Amino acid sequence: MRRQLALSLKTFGMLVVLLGLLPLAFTALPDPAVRPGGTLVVWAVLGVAAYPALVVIGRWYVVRAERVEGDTADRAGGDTADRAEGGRR
Amino acid sequence: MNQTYGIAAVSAAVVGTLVTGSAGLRISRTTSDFYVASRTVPPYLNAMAISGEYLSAASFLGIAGLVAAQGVEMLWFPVGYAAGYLVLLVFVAAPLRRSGAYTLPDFADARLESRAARRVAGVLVVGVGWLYLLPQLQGAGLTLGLVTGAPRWFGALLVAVVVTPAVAAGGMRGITFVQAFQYCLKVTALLVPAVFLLLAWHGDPRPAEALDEPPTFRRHTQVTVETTVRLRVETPLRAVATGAVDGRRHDGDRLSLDPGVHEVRAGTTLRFPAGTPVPEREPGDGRRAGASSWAAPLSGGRDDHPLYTTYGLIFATFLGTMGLPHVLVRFYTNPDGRAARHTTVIVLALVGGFYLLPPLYGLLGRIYAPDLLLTGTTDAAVLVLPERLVGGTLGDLLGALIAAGACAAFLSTASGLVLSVAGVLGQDLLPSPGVRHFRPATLLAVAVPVTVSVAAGELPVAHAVGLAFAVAASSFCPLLLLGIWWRGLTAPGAIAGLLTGGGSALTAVALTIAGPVTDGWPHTLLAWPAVWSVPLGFLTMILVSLATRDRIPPGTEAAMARLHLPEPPVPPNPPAGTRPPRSDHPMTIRRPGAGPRT
Amino acid sequence: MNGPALLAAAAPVFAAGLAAGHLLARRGGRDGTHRGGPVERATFRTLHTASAAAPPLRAGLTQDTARKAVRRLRPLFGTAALALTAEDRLLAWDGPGRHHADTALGSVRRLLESGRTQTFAVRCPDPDCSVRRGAAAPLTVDGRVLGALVVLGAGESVPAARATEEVARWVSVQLELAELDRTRTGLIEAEIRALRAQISPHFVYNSLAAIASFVRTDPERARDLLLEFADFTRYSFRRHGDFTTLAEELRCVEQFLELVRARFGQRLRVTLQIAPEVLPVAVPFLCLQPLVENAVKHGLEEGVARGRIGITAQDEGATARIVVEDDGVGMEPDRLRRILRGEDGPAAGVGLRNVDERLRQVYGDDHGLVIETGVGAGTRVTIRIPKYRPGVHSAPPGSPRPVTGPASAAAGPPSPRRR
Repeated sequence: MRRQLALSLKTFGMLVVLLGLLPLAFTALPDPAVRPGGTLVVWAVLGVAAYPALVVIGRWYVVRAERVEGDTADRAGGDTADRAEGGRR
Repeated sequence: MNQTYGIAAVSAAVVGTLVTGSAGLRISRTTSDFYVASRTVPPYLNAMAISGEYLSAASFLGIAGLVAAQGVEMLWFPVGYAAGYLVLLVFVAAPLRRSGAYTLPDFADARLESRAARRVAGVLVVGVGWLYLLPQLQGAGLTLGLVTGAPRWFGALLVAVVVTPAVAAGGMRGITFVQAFQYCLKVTALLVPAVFLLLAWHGDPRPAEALDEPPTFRRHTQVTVETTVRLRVETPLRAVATGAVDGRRHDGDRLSLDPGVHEVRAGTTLRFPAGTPVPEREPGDGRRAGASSWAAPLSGGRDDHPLYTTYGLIFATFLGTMGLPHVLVRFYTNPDGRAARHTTVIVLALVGGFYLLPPLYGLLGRIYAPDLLLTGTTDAAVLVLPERLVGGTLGDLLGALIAAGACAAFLSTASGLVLSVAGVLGQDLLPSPGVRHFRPATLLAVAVPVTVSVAAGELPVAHAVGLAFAVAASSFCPLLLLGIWWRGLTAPGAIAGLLTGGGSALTAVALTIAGPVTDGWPHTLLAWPAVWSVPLGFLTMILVSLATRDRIPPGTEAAMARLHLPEPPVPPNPPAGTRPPRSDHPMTIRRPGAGPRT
Repeated sequence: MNGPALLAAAAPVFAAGLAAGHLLARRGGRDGTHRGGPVERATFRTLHTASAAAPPLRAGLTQDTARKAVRRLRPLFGTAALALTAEDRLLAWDGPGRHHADTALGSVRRLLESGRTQTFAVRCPDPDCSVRRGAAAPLTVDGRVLGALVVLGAGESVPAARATEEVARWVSVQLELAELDRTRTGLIEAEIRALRAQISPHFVYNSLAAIASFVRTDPERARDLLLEFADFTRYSFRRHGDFTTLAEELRCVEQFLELVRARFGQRLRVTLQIAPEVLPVAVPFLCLQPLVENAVKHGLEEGVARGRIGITAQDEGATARIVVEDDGVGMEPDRLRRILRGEDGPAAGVGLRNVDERLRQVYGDDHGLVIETGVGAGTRVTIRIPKYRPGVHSAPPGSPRPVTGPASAAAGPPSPRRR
């Protein structure tokens, strides 16, 4: 459970760093009246790029989480093998 | 918009929903292929159902409207709606499925072994559900008003009339199939017109820079104002008016508006020549609306504290998704925790894919339907665009398709919400629980938001959803996160946290809607409560739990193990309320057809 | 003293109490107000207090129940403090003077040695302390001292000791009843455990006979059937967990029907209508198969040429609704009622009754079987299962873990599953 929590927090941290800090970054952008390019960046980041990033993080998390669970099950005494054999095909 | 097509499309959406619902049961005569076919709901189907239920009128209409009206900062709404699922995936999805809880009150009960916590959670679920139903009903009113010309309240009533019997009679039998179908319908309804719109935009001889400030009318435009509005004019402009402007009657006369604020009475028609900059609409309370800073990511908008409001939105949507009653119910359909995780990732992809579209509509709506900014009905942007940009029969057909999608949006979310709210009402809150109470509970679940929606008038669709998210984030997010990841949570702590966090957010929402505070920091804090109410909820829950450490539920270790281990090492406990069967309650035996079927 | 004897002794006391309470209630009801004399009022108050303290005690003696009971019992004495202890530790203390807990426990130790009520003086340096004297009386269940009731106050010790003894005896009765309840529940659980694994011997015989008939003509089919049979029996005999998922249960029904079909061939038609949403719902183990077996029996075996069985499972919001129906001969409802009451011979209807009892036990009386039948009208059995109920979790399929839950610990040693 501790490892799962650590993993979850790590993933959440990634999310916060990636998206949570964006508003701050946007305030640092130059005034759109001066350089309209900045606006396009915002559109591209929020309108398009954010979603694939979310899916990638999610996918990464699932793979890691299942590895942790696999380890836990192994440590619990080879139950998984027993189960695979005893379970119905 | 062509009414015949529109009505046909909306009817088709309703009928399609009902047919899928009743055909959703797999019928199988050869028992052996039953298992191969539908042993359980596969993750992709379940994910489509969750997405279908989640993508509400707020997503379908509201986001485009907000983007059209207020610009790029509103893109945080869809990002937040999608990111909420990542947070759900990371902290909640698998453990929640393993808990076996079907609703949030169930979770509170399973984890804390407390009837009181269950009840409090139930009250909050009903509160959040009603709050979330409001914008769905408004979206229905808007769509149907545009399609059929019916008054606003008619849409809310129609939803009530369609959803209540369906839910009460258990008509949503194949609910997973229904919701998956709705998702497909919604994506199609936005994707297909979007292709045509982009082509039309591309073919436009002047694909004007959308980011122009301020937007201009691209052609001779006639606008009829339905409610009295105040317009702020920056540069002198000419128009032809029929009606009352600044207290003077006009009857088709030319009119020149000087810089300053002008009042246009309800029912007035204004005609602007092509190339006129769109006047800015002033909110009734005199604050500046956001159109002037449309392209800026933060600077400006509704309030004076853009960074704060952006974070308020992020807090609410990121953490609120996990507390929405109709979302959690669907997770139960997953066979186990692993499947719940896979489902959530697919949901993330499906929802994210969908959210690529509404901002596009917002952008185009700004260019091609600027009159909506003037009348303040930007939520209609999605619906009117095909007519404006493509035109002709094709435009009508595409418009009808979008209307069908919008219909699917509010029907699916509304039915999911009503089902959840009625379930909680019937099971936990109404006196003497039982199956028989489900129907009155359904009526109550629908009647309250319909009444409020008809009485309360207009509330921007996406904004109302934001408030529902804020309440969910500050009450259920702490409950779920601490319940799943912290052994020290006690029932008194959870109750105190739910009441403090959810209660304060609800109060803030009520004050915002009632509107006694309209300006400055107090208003900002109340309109975006999540930033302070979420930590408040967490803090209360933790502190009270620490203070009542001796009340940690005895089954905590077992519950935690069940939540987190892929193979629960703790065998199922015998049911808590084991008691001897009573021989004085014989089984119900009767002739077929005698008395009501239960 | 044993349980039943004590119960017999307690019964008249309760009957008297009930009668008194009833009388008082009627008087109060007739006048609209309660106007009894001081004695009656005192009786009423005492009975009321006692009845308020009874429910927690009926759940046995734990810290939690002791806390509630002590709080409700203290007004009975009007003394400063009241405590309940186990043999060697304090369970609950209501009132001031908690710092004298050690003194009280000391007297409980003496009580355990002597088995008799103890009175003791409390020395306290604090002049304001209202605890000066105390009395401890034993709580006896089945002749064994479980703990003690301790009354502390400033007043005279002898009458206090008498009162303490009486109340302790009353508490003991409640605890005895709790013990009885527990025993009864355990018995019923054992009975259910015994019943649930019973598959009908007729079915075993018929299945094997049917399989045998295929051995020469269609050995492949015979092999498949034999495997189905093995799977079915394995599922029926499994020992862990009281609950399973509807999907597993339906799979068992599927195997059962496969075997039945081997016997009846084309005479049996089966229609399944299952909403996939309800497949993960946790249901009591083997709650569906007896219903299907019943439908087969009455739909087919009683000399009907062709029979149809329908199994439907639907999502109904917070509940799942499962219906098993057949188009067989049906039955007069009154006769079915007699059969299910066990009046038509002990063996008849045992499967249905067993399922009904288990459902009621787990989910409450609202969730028993609903049977609709009539002569020539077929039979339809409906059950509704809440998707969630505290404490109900389906054991993961094929889980190798033995049962070690508190109530099932007595059922036997963990089943060996090592290979």
